[in-house]
Amino acid sequence: MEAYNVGTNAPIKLKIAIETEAIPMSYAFLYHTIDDKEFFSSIPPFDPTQKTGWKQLDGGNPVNGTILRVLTFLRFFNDFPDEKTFKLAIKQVEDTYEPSINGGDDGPYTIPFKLKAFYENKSCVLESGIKLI
Amino acid sequence: MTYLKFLCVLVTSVLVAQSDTNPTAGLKNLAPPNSPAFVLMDIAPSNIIVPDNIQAFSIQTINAFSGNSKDGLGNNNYAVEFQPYWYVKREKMNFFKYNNLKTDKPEGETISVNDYTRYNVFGDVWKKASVSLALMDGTFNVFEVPQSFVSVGVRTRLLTVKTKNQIAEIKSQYTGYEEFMSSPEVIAVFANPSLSLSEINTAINSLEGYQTIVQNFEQSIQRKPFFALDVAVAYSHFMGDKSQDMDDAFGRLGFWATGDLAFYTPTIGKQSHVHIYGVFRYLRDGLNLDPDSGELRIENTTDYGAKIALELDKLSFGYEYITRDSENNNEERSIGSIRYKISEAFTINGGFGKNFVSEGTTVVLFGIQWGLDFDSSVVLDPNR
Repeated sequence: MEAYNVGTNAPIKLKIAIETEAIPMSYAFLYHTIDDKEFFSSIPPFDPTQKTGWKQLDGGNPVNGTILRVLTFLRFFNDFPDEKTFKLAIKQVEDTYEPSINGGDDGPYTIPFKLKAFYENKSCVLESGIKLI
Repeated sequence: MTYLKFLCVLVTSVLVAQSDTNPTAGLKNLAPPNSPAFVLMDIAPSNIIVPDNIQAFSIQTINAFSGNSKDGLGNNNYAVEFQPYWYVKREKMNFFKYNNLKTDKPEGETISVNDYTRYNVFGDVWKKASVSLALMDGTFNVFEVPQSFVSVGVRTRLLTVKTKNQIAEIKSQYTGYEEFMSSPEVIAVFANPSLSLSEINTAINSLEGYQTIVQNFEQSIQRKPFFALDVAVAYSHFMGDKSQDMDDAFGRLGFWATGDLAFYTPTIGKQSHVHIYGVFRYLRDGLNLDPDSGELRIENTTDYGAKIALELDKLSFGYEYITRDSENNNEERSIGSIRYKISEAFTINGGFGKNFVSEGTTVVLFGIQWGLDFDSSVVLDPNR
């Protein structure tokens, strides 16, 4: 897992950019350690195409020493005539999805993500994780 | 001419290569034979062009069985069609913009569903634009033996109008979906770090109420617009035949406009509509023999007519009547068409009736669509 140097700065903020025909819903959770099963703080779920601004982690409190996990769930409601067309729509998601963090010592940083798409459900899940040090 | 043939083969090859599609293996990406490049030559089951649910890339083919051998379609009738929208990077795309809803709120501000107060009637022009290219053989009532033609066509939806009720329904469904996806049971799925991405997807899709919400939402989105105006243009070039001392020549140039008034009839089926189409087509037709000189000559014709169609969930059938005013005589096309989706993988398209070039005899056209990447009911290649 990659790390981002927040130092003792606050607030640390999250922004998600994406260009898609689907409805994306994003979820962000903070954990004390990588092995925690329960999060201690979260951002209320939001559609990043409608709420495009920066969102504070943990209400603006210092978050150094924690783990940030960001997930986005997409559901397409347009009709796809075949899987090939669906895959092209997912390629657009892959090319435009940018979960960014800001407020640390290093300035804005785009968090790497992994993606899995499901043609049978017309859905897609993206996940990012980063250590805040 | 050699260069033109080479160019056509090259373009077709590039498109097939870029699509990762092997047309001989599994016959995937086949589509109904309704591209403008086919319709221009009067060999498609329907003369109405509707740019709906077109594949990002498709290969189309058609076979014809006619009571009059003079119609003489050969066996080499193929077209490729693709939608540039799916291959170009999106800019400022979101669910509402894709569904033609607009807001006056400045960029960067938080937007709520109620801020989408306007509808972009031209919003489908780029999304539904497609380009087609066809190679076909036929006598077309002019030649003694089938001759080769190359056609290129473009189609799109110029105007889309949805009613206030349709727009309100989409907004309402979005709000319901957003609320559901913000509920504690959904958050609990995403908050669980031990779940893989596949397990998260399965868990969300298994939640009570999720399937009902998304199915209702899809039905609202996929309701036909109250009015749509589709346009298309196509050109077909006669390739010539050196063995018969015939040079390549102008074939046909056509322009279509189709207005579709759709009435939603939920009492018949969940996605059923009665359509009333108005059709206009201008045709500059080079496939006419001068009786005196025996040479090909060009005639200008104008078609206008109407079609009524009942579209049920799996079955659709219709009747179209089109009059063609030409310089020398007037003709009619009176054709019934039927389409039945047996499964997601197998659809039959048919047309029957009197065509412009059939000189009063019946014409029957038949097209099959299968293997659309679902659970295919027809597997031609045992290795796939």
